[in-house]
Amino acid sequence: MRRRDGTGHSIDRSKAFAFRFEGQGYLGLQGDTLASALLANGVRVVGRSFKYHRPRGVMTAGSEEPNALVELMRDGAFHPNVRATVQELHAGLDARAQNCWPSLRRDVMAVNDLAAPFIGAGFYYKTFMWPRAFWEKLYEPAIRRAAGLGRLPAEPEAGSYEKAFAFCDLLVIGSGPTGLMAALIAGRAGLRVILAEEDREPGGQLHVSSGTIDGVPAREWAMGAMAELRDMPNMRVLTRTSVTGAYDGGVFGALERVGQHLSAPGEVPRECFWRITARRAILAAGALERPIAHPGNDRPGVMLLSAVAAYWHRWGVDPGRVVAFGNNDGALAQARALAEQGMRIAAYVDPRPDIATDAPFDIRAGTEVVGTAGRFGLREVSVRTGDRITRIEAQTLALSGGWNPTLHLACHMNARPEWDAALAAFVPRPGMVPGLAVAGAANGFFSTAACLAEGRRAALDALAELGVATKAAPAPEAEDAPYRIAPHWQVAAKGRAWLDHANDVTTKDVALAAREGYASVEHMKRYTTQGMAPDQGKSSNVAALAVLADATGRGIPATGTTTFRPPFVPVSIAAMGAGARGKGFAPERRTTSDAATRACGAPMIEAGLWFRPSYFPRSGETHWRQSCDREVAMVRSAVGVCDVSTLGKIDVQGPDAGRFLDFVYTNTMSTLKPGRVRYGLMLREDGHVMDDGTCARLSDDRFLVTTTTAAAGPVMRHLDFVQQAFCAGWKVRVASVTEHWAQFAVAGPRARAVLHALLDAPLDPADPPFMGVRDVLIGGATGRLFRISFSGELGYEIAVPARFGASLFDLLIGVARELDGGPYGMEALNVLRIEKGFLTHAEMDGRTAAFDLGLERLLASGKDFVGKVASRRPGLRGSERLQLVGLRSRDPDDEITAGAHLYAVQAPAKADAGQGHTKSVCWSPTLGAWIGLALVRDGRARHGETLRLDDGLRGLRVEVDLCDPVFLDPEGGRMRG
Amino acid sequence: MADLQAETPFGDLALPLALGECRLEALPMGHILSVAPYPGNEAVVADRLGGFPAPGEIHALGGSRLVWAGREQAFLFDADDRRGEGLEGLAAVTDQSDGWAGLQLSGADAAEVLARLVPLDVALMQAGRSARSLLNHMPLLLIRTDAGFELWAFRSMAGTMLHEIGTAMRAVAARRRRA
Repeated sequence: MRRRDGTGHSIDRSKAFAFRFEGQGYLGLQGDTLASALLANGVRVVGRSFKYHRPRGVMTAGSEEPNALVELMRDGAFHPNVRATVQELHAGLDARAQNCWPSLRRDVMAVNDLAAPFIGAGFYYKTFMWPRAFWEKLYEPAIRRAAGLGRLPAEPEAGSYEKAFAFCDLLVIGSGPTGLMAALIAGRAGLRVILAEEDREPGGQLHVSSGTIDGVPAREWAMGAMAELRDMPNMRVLTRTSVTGAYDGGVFGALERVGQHLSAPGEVPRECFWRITARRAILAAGALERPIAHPGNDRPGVMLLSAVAAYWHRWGVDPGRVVAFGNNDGALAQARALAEQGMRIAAYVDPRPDIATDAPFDIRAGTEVVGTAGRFGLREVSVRTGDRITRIEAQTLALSGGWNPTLHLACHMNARPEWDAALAAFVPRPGMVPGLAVAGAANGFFSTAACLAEGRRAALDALAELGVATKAAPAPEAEDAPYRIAPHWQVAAKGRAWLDHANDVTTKDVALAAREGYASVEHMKRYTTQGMAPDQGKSSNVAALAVLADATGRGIPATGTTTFRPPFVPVSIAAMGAGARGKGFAPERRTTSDAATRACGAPMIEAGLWFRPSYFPRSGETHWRQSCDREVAMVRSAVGVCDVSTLGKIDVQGPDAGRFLDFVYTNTMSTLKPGRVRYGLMLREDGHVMDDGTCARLSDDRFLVTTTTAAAGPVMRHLDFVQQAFCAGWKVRVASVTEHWAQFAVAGPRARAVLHALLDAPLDPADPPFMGVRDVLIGGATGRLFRISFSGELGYEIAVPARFGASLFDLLIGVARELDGGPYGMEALNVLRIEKGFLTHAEMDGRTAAFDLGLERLLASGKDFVGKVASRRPGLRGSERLQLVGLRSRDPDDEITAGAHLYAVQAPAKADAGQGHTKSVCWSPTLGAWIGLALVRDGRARHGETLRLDDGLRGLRVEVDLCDPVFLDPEGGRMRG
Repeated sequence: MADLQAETPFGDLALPLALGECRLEALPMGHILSVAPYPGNEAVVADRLGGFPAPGEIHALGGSRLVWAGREQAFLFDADDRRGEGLEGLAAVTDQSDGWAGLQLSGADAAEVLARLVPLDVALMQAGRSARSLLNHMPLLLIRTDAGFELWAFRSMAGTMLHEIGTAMRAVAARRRRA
């Protein structure tokens, strides 16, 4: 093949540039696809087949390409399975063939082809069954190396991708005659329209049509229509955009190739995944030409007739001597048109005996192709008329087995198409996807005039459904030849005939499937892998089921189709996950003390979405435990400051606020006096513990609920739900104020001194009292001072509006340091609370009941509350339950671990001997011992008992004593001050 | 005696940001009160305030705005005129001033940038309308003004907010340069 002079309306001959394929340099033109540039350079073999490693060439000119899949090198990384027919050429493009070694021409795995008689469909399942253990270790890895498509890149994708949302009144999918006509009418009527076209250039089949529309050459008409559309402010034209799926609610997925065709995309995203919400949609995606399965039909140079025409018209590629093999009038008409324009048609071959034979080339009726020859590209075609076989020299064999409407999207919500015997194709039924109408060739209307009329009809229907009155001129005049076809799926002749080129499935494989009992189309698909390659069988599904129907004698309608699923074309995971990579994965929540904390060198850990300091290292400390132990001792002996802003804070207001809280808490809050704080417990509806925390009464009708960091969202959602669903009429409202307040714990014997130094008025030790709250002035700002403790020490929490958070944190740690104190992090906070036996979600793990945690006394009996009934279920209390206990290793130097299981000292480490498991552990610098909190069967009755802690993961076995979960100051004298 | 310095949500983050046909700038921290009438009090609260917004609505009240901000709830922005007072027993009034970080996105491509982040038909949003939605993964209060879009998200997420909008702005600007 070579480039013709002065032709090709998609290329710009003034802009040539270099590109590489298989390491070899070539020249291509602006507007080329990689496929057209390779063909113009005479490159015929572009890849090796999936299983037999046979040389393969370009077969189509669109996204349905089964053969020409390449690896694209970019920025030092490669992208596998790029369709050369879709990838536009750019300067410096560097592509490689895939599935071949050491090179495309000398591929050692081509030995598979010699073994073809032995490795048909189902071969693996039958051959590699024994010995069983070999499958995973030997057979599967070996097969995977030998077969397959592109390599998976090991590095994450480096280019940028994006996701976007779009909305319209009407989505028109496809911009051939049908789509253009629909868009024109809808656009002129003022609808907000999105016109999505997979190709770089709108126009569809009009690019290769030699007919006229209203007396104007078809392509010119298309360009005129596009110019009008692009001028409409209510029209959005998305080229290079494949609509990939139809989903509920009028939502469509679409993949736009944004920067894939640029040599230096820079910040231009490679691809954009669109979610388009459309009130109405018109599927005008045209039709896909199908090949005919004849022996040797996979040789490079065997192409679809429509592709030969497209390369001729759009990219000026001369296919050399062509044999056309068709079974429909459109194919013959196309061959005539191409011959008139100078293509060298050696012969037109058609199995139908009764076709017109007047043409400037050899027309052979009642004839079919029975073989091809040429090692790395077609040289000769064998044709059979009756019993006589003749050979015709040709470089290209152009196949046209008829057309399949591109109705995939209409089937995405599981509706099945119906068989049209006259068209020998599946066509859509009305209403397959709500709001989506199928029109034009996608609906089984193949003439240009019929497509224009269909586009017009579909647009007018959509306008009527949307209540927009309009008048539209009749559809323009155009070619309206009838579509006559005699189905011809396979040629009965010796030799392998391919159906699915991408997965190397032949007609024999399908027949074998039927013989072996895989006669259902879904079973045949899985047995042969037909239709399971990246092209999803676009050019092979219908032929394969026709061959299956032949083999079973059931007929095509009874055989049916396999399921059409999104996406219509491959969508890169990078595009689907766009925006969620790196820092886009989840929001980061930063406290107001974040900058100061980092300045202290504190390593941050994530708690939910929040970033919190793990510990604050001091010079000389080389291990986190040193910092943690120091911080614990600091709080116990002096004072520590910790940012606790991440705890959820929920403002509950209203005359019925107390009543509402009595309903969501297990204990009573309505009796709390203003200015006082109470510990409270919430249950889920199923009776298990949801969260704990404090509840402060700020005034008669105002409370502040505090949640754990992890449960802030869920508790807010729960309160919102309870308020709406169970007590919508009560005068109560809830609002999250977590973000409004920066809150710091000041804990330790010298806590008062720190606050005393900073508050505007002197701090009265009795106000607030233990478990009290009051407003305070600090630096002129109004804050809230809570007298609560999560450390077991004398403790306060001071809250100020977040704008003052950073400033207050600096002041607090400044004063604390003067008093031999300082900031402390999550590790120390955890040790402090374990020493006191305070709970976190490590203990409230979603399976624990109040009874398990020793909190049964908080289940008030005189009122109803969420979860009350379920908490009384049998099985949620009693000696069989795992109950909270403390534990410590018998030898204080023996480390214990969280998540370890507990057994009787001599019992085996088996599930049915399990006594419980550890939840939280730490080295307690205060006690000089390893301590922990655990859930143990009947644990409260077993204090003093010795068990074996067995951590199978870490290989740890330690004897531990069970004890009360409060290790330090059980009377609470320290925190009461 | 302490001397507390106020800090804005965006602190020393790089703002304003101008890319292509789009500009992003921080909105001043204002006074924001959430107002949620108790059941049965909607009319009297509307009467006291001079109106109460239906979903998606905004009422201009002198120098302040009452913006629909969720189920049976409105945010009173710039409420320096003490309008939030006197609603005791009628509505829950909560100071939310420091909980929200506000950005203004303006320019010809503002809707295109938001189309990458917000799953709403922002191009059709009229000035004087509000919506609760998502900014990528973040809860969002979106307000359309004559000047552009106001985006309000949680203060703690200010950095992520800027990162996400900046990423979308860069991509849209790069597309525009190519066009």
